[in-house]
Amino acid sequence: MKVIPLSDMRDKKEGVSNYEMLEFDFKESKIKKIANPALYVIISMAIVFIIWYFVAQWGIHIRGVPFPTPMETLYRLSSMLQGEALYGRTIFEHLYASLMRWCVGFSIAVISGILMGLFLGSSEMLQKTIMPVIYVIQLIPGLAWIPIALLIFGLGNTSTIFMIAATAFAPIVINTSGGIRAAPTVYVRAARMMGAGKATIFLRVMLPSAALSIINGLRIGLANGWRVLIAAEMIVGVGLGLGYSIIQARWSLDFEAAFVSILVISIIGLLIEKTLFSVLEKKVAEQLT
Amino acid sequence: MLEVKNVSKAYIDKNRGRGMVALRNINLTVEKNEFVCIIGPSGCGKTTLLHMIAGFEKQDVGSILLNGKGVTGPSPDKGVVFQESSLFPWMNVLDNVKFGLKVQGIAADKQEEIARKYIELVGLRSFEHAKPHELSGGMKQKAAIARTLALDPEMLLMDEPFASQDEQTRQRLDNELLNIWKKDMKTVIFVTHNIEEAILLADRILVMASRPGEIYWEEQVKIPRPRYLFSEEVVELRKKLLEDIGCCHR
Ligand SMILES: Nc1ncnc2c1ncn2[C@@H]1O[C@H](COP(=O)(O)OP(=O)(O)OP(=O)(O)O)[C@@H](O)[C@H]1O
Ligand SMILES: [Mg+2]
Repeated sequence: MKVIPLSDMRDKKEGVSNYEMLEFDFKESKIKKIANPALYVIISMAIVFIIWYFVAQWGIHIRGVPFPTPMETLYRLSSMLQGEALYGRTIFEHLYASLMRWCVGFSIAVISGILMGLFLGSSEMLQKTIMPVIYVIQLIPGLAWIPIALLIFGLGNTSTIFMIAATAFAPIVINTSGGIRAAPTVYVRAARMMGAGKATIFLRVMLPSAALSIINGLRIGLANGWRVLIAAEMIVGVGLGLGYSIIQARWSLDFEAAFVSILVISIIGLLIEKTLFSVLEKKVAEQLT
Repeated sequence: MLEVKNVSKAYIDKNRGRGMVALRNINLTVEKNEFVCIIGPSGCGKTTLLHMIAGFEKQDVGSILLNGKGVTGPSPDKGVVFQESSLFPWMNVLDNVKFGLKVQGIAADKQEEIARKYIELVGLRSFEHAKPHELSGGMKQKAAIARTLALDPEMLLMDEPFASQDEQTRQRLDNELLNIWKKDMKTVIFVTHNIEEAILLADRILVMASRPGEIYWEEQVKIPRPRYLFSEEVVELRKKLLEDIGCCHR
């Protein structure tokens, strides 16, 4: 079969004759495939930076506060990337520490959340009685977990990880069990008609029809966990982590350093979301639809 | 033999706080190997009746007996073709058709063979690896029919299975169904909106009326097979059902 670039097929002047074929293989330009999404990210970043710039100008000139501008922040970031220490550690060490805590906390939330969600999704009675508790957990704001974490685990890493896990847990449970419950009746009936038992229906019909919803829950959980980092690292007690740096920067009035930390947190969050999750979602969507 | 005795069914609309009688006092006996068509206006309870026979829903009053035993739930010997799309969207056509065979513990190579046979029969061979979302509405329905036929059920409950087919394909599928019915000796209950299709297929046509859903006319179709759409008898019966009995108007 002849291979035509897709752009040729769509070319209004030249491509018309190509439509005489019934089927065709096409090649999408690789550059476009990567460049397009990247372009959108760049544009949205640019918008953020422009707004940030004007807010900073307003802060500096009208309010007379040392509001870090995008340039200053980026400059400081680059010097940190080149090894400038922040509270005695490099920015990489801070980032690594935060990522590790988040990884552990999120993994705990994923495993326990999905299992809990499957458990609750398996029966309407469980769903009705236990789900309200999960909704309440979901409503607890990030900062409010601090006293709870301190009381249970005391000052230290475990508390931080607990907070990350706690905030990521509820959305995962809710979306998992919701997805299971929302499996279309006709699929379940078709499976029953074909002789499938409860376990088969649960694993081979309800679970796959819940998969996208589960991923959605993971995505919300991920964002929750990452966002609570700052609050969670208030109680690390060890001088390491991006959240810890923000809090320290606030005390020492080093706003630039705080902004650098915020920037790094946002960028890493965006990267995880865009790479890991988009890929995962796409793969699952391909499998499921 | 299927016996539906004095069956009634109501639905409760919780939002409006009102009940609605979907089916009232249905009596129906379907002999083994009989081909019965049900026609009737939209909303008269055809799907409801079929689902109760299939065992998905329970009647409020009356009893449904299959070979003398009460229907307690769905099973592979009562194959259902659903009105809406029921293929699993995460499986390709082949895996969809194999699902029931796998569940029943049929050997893997046998599964493949049976599944292929029915996919071929409905004319989807070049689409066996396609996912449902890549199929047109009519193709999805064909795949669902293949999946149900592959179970080799004793009774086929088909809910407007060919509604989304073009005229020619529908006629071909009607004929395939008749062949399967003759060859494999199945009992068929077939819901359709199409009077001609009912006349061409059925041993007996049940005409339903709505509000409440009732069977108000039974027509034995004695025309010998194969039947032709424009043969005198078919045209006559069609006229009778449409004009004298006024089906789909009550
Ligand atoms: N689950 C349900 N809850 C409430 N009402 C229902 C339910 N299922 C069906 N009904 C009602 O019962 C009546 C019969 O529905 P049914 O689906 O059996 O009709 P039908 O004859 O199959 O119609 P169509 O030809 O449009 O498929 C309708 O009035 C419908 O509103
Ligand atoms: Mg219906």
